[in-house]
Amino acid sequence: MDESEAGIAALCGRWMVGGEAIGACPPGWRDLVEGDPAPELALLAIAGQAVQLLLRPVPPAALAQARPIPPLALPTLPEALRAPFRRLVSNRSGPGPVPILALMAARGRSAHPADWMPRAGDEGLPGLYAPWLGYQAGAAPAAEFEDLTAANWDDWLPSARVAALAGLRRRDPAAALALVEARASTEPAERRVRLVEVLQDGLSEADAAFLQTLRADRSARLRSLAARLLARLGHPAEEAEAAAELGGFFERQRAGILSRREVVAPIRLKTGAQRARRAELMGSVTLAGLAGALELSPAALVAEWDFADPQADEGLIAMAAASASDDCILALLERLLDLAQPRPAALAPLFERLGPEARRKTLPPVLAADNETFTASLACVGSAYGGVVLDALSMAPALDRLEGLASADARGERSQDMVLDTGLTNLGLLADATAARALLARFVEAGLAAADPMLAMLAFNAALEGSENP
Amino acid sequence: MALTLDVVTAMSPDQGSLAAASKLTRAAKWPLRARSDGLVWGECQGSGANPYRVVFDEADHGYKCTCPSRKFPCKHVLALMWMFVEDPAPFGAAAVPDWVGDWLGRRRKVAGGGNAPAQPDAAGKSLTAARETEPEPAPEDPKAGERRRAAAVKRAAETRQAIAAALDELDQWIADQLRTGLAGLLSDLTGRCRAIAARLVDGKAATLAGWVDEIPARLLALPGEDRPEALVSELGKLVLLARAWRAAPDAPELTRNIAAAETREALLQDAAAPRLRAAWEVLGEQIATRRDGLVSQATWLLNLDGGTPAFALLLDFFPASAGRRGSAFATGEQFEAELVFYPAAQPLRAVIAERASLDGPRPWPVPGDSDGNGDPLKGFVEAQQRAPWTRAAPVLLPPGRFGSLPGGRTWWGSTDGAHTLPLASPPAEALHGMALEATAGIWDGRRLVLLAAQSDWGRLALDG
Repeated sequence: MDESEAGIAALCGRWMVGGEAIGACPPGWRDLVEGDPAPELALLAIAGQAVQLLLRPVPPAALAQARPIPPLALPTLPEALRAPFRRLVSNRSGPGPVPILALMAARGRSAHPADWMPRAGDEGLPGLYAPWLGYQAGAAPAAEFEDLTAANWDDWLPSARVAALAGLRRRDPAAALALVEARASTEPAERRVRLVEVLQDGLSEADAAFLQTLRADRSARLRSLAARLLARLGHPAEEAEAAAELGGFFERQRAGILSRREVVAPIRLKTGAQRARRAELMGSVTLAGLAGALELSPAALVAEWDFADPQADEGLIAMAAASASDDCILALLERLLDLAQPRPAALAPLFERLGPEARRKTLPPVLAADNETFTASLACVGSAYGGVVLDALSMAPALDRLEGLASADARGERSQDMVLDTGLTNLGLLADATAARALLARFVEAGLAAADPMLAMLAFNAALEGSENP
Repeated sequence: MALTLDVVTAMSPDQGSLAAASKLTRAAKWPLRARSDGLVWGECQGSGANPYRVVFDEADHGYKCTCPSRKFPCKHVLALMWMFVEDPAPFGAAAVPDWVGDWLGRRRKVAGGGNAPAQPDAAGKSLTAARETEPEPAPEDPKAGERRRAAAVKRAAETRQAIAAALDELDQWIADQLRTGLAGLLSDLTGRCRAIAARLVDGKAATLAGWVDEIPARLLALPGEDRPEALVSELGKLVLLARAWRAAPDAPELTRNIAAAETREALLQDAAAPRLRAAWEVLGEQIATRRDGLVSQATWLLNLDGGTPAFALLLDFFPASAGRRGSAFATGEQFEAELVFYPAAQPLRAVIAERASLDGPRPWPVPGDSDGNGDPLKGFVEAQQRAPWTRAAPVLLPPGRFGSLPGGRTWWGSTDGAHTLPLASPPAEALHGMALEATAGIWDGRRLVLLAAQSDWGRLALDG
């Protein structure tokens, strides 16, 4: 502590307890205030200035500095779009950051770190944010775009490892299988499940031998997952008793006055306990198991199912999504979209089973059946946001419905506002940039103000530059 | 219902509002007027430093103005509607700004939306009567003029006497606190400051009273161990200001800091008020509710041309009862403007005389000092030398980064490691990972209040 600092400390100490401090001040200061009509006040003024000017705060320890935020593979949003992005991401009734980030990535843009950064355990983000996931988790920076191997397995954070494995599975399914075979057993159960789930992409008979070994895994969840994946490949599960019990909840009967075709219909249940038990069994028995219990093939079960009981129908959809073959999935989708009153929103679990090409082929009939808020269509495109052209969107009855709601008369109804808000947000995530601009004009023509927050996603989409989704 | 002059008349709360609106229907009062898809908006330069932002919806006549008026609609809304109905041509098509969009978004969430009266009543109101100019006042009787001027001189002398007496009382109060112990003052800060502030108000030292009234809030925001020295600094500045005023009671800067600021009109007519035309950027905004029921709105500007003054402060006050008031400018907004500064030893507070768009974005000036000693707080030190009663001053810091201590206290540190400054509040975590090319903030001798920065990730708004 130097002389000035000591002098200030002495003065402050004297004034804190009360009394004259002039006797405690540095000699040079005393000279300045002697002769002043109010020497204590003069001393106070000098001390106050000294506090502000002579004493500069110094940190008591070395400052810890954060590592530089790693750059991403895509440039950040233009300045003009950052405020709209922040508003969209912070909107609690909105879709959340993942779809918006995916739309931006499709257009060649990433988020600004001051506007949004992931939390360490966030999932489902576009792959380009892997460096930020690692940064948030405090991991040492990995070499950019390094491939996952058995040798560098432990260098990866679990979530980044799964993302890298998923990418490898798309490029080289056999290599990904080999990695999972080699390293999954060293991981805790929860992480083993995530790794094996990656094998769903491009599942083939080549994976069956490894999946068979998982029937004896110590994790029940992993055993169940393996059974479902094997069922997709046509390998029966060990579920005869449960399947038989579930089969007892259904019967084959003839329906139709003229055609008298065979249908599989649920038997009438009398109690809530029966419904609960049926739902429980449908959550664990494979499609092949139920089909076998009814002495049918899985394809025949899908073809003959009578869509009369919504709870049973939901159970069938979930069962198929978990364990049906790809062909059965497509057949079931076709049947559901052919219904007189399709419920496209219920189809989301089946979309998860489709690859990008199958999703593209399935989208037109889904759009044609989408009479709600484009929620089903959005589920169908998966993460391929911002690529649907106007002609395709115009096939959906939902578009005319939303346009009607946008008229001034309908806006005052709160419930309809929510339908319109959801529908326009979903459109904003679906449409390509050209369609987004056309839809903006259309809904303004229909009665919405151009600055209406419900049009925010469409406006954001339209303003995002860059290449459209193929 | 289409917007017509009859509708505007009917919407007006009274004839007085129409008369007041009539005085605002001049283009010079509106530096900005625009429209888009049924929305009409404008900025009206009122008596404050910041323009008022006004918007209305043609369809349902809903409206919003940022002025503190308690009349609905206010004269600004009426004037804007009036001008639009009479001549929409000057209202050019423009992209809807964020503040209009925000208003529109809040409207949608209110059932029914809009705030136009269901049944406007035109009884007793007339645009024609409002348009009539007031008759020229009769020439003043010379003797009446002399009496008026003498009365003004007498009032000014009485005011000076009252202030002098108030400052003497303040000095005595400070001396009493020193005599009895500042520890006692710290333990009863709010009550004792309130009491002396009330005496200052009685002594016509209203601005100084507000300063004293806010001392408790400033000190209580500090860690306990910092408060004694901070209190010494606050009280010392009161002594300095009082002594400066006694030495120059007619100095505008000192009168402003003790009694009241000049009106905007008086400032614009003051030939001695420094004027500067330059490119400016809005660094950030600080809004604070005071104990006296006023809300202060401080908008900080950076001189992008690198000249002096390097900063400007637009300062407005409005009643807290007027509710939340929108910002006049967007943070980061750049424009060319002629600023008129309130005369001061270190000019800072200003009003905008004229404003225009820039032809393109401008970079920040390079932070630095002219004497080469590398002190990032040179601007603060100079402000203290010229006006030692100044509590804080804006600074533009050289390249650096944010760093933290164990326990979380965040500091700014220069890249060369030579300088560190503690921050008043920590910035977002993500900003710790950015290299700061320049940082703008307000330094008060103890802590840095951040406004904005330029970084390797672009511009950062830090005033949130």
